[in-house]
Amino acid sequence: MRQTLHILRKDVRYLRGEICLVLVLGAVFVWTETHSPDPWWVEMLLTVAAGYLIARLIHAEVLPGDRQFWITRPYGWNSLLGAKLLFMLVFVNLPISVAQLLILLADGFPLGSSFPGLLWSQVLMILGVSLPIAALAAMTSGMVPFIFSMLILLAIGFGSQQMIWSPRPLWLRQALQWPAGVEWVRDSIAIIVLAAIVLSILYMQYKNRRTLFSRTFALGGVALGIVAYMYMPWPFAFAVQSQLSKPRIDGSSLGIALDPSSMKFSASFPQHGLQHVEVDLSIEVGGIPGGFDLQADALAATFQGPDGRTWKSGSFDFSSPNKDSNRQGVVTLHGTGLMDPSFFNEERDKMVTLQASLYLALFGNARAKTIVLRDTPVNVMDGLQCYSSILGDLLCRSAFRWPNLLVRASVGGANPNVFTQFISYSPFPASMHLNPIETRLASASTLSTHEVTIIVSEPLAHFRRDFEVRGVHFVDFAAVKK
Amino acid sequence: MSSALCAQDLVKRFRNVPVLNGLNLDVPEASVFGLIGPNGAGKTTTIKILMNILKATSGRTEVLGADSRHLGPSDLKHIGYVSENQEMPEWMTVEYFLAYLKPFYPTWDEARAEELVRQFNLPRGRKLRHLSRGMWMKASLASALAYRPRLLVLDEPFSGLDPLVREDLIEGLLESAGETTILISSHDLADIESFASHIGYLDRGRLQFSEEMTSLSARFREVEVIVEPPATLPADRQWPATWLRPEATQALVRFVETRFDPEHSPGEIRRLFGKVQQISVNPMPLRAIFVTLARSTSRTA
Repeated sequence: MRQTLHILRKDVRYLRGEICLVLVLGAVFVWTETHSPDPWWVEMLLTVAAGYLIARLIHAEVLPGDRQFWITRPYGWNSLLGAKLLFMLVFVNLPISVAQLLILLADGFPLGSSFPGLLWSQVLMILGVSLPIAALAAMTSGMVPFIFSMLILLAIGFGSQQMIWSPRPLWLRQALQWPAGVEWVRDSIAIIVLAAIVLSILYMQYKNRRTLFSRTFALGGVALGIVAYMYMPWPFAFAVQSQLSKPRIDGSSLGIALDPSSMKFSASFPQHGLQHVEVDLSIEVGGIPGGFDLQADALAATFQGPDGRTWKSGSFDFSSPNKDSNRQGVVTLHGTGLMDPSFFNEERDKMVTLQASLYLALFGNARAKTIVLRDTPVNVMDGLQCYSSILGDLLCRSAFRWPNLLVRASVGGANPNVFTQFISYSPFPASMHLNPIETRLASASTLSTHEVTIIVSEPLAHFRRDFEVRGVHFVDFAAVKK
Repeated sequence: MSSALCAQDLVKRFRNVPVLNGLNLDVPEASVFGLIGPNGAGKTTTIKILMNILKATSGRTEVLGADSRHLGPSDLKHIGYVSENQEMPEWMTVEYFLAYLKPFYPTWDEARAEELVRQFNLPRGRKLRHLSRGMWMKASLASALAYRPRLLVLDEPFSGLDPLVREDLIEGLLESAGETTILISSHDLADIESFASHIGYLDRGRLQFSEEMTSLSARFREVEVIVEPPATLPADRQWPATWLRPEATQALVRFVETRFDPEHSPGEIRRLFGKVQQISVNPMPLRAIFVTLARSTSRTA
């Protein structure tokens, strides 16, 4: 421990300029977060400065190579690694968590309820950001190769993000795009795998300095991780979700039923340069008991032609369900998915069979609170603060993550609007963001009123309904999208 | 005498290019062992393997009785290493550098450190990056001598230094000789000759010989033989293998006897050359011995 502290003191002295930079940017981050609407550039600068500090810290005792003075000195590998980890905790994570805390306090969030999120946010940052940067620095001999490697990794990450929203290739987009509710399962696995890889690299590098082996291990691990990330089936995540969230109500006993005969189907595709066919499905679900709300989380569909050809869809996106005002307990779900144009063209004149699994979430235990709207946030409940923007938009925000609740707003007694149907059912109190506040916008104007009722409902059960529709005739539904 | 350092059948290949070919080395305790050899002979590689900086392809090495593959902090507390190619923490001042290293070594002698700073005339407040090459090397050596290591390994410490700095460094080393075993690789043979007790000659990845300096100086002689002209060299099969670099001019034959024996060598010369008018035998400096060996081995290669 004495050697650890001795090395730490040396690193503090060596990196005092970089430490000051992080602290100053942390202060600017607090100020801009509490005074500016979208200080993304400060977040970016703070992230870059923190990453730079970590890389410089690791490079203070470069690991690859055979010329460094320290390798022939009596350094204990565990003391050296301990000093680096302690430094990261004290001069990277602590300032960031203090900045987040100050932002929360300035914005009126209670400290007690924010504390788990504050801690979890740092755990995620250590595992998902600080340690991977440290591991990369531990495998590079200086800032130039470090920055070069970092840029390559960022390009891969940015490219993957773009592919989710790019129409091509469709299989990749389908592989990467997951239902929002359970995406946390894949992200958690990714963080655990990443943490295992980077901790192994740090251990191997500091104990044995086997850089070539570490680099091979890192490349292999990352490549396997990417493949696993892409091919992890999202229905499995719903099974995990169902296991983890103890159902407080038995969905199967509620008599909730789909009416396949009510299903409407349409397909549209660009007239020129066929890239994908957009498939819209709407289906009625009945038997929803009073006081409960139903949301569709995802739909997995398999279309099979009479010739045996099949097309498996990715996850369908669902908009808010429409309630049938004439029929109690009936809602219509609207989902959109993508189809391979070659399958569509091949089967457009044939009778196709659709086999589908619909993943549903039932919300209940609704609570409501009416607040007088102001342009400054008002504490509502469940960690939510709401306010009205200058343009009359209704905004609500919460600390570290949007709560895993169905949040709706009723303005002037109208039907409540859902803030977002993209609810993460993650049990963790924070997501990996530097900004500790997550804000969502309701599609309701508050220009004509001063009061709004916020209604929150808890997810009570997650369940699946399978159904089959025979004789789908694509050409009957096809419409050319302009 | 027990060994401070030893290597047995040491082999090192870099991408199938052999650098060390079954090297055997034994550095006695309390000796000043000069490891000499031409460029690319494998001196630095040998030292790096002994210091556990590089891994050997095969073979065994021991440093202060410990397997060098497992040299850890407890061993390194007693070993000093100074190399011309070391990357130092250049942002540190000389004073901070020494103060930083002090807690790593239980045997750190503050008075000795102070003495070395004074002796080497080191500027305490100057950063290492702003030191001249000579000062930089002195600071490096001071940081290795201040804890009175049992073993000091020096890789080309005099390379590119002016004579005054060399003298200062040697003076510093001589003060530690006796209590410290010193392994020094160098091209500066005149300097090594002045204080090395043992010499090892490394060539093409093998130790060609290793012996005490006094014995080496005694057995190498430059011999000049004046014969009746025309001087001719005996046939190859008669030419002793221990006589190197033969040259013949009109009445003069010159060669290097590598196993000179004052009792037997003159008789052997007379036997081979017949009518010999004069034999003169001259001692050789280490540099001349090195050149002779290097040229002979390159010719045989």
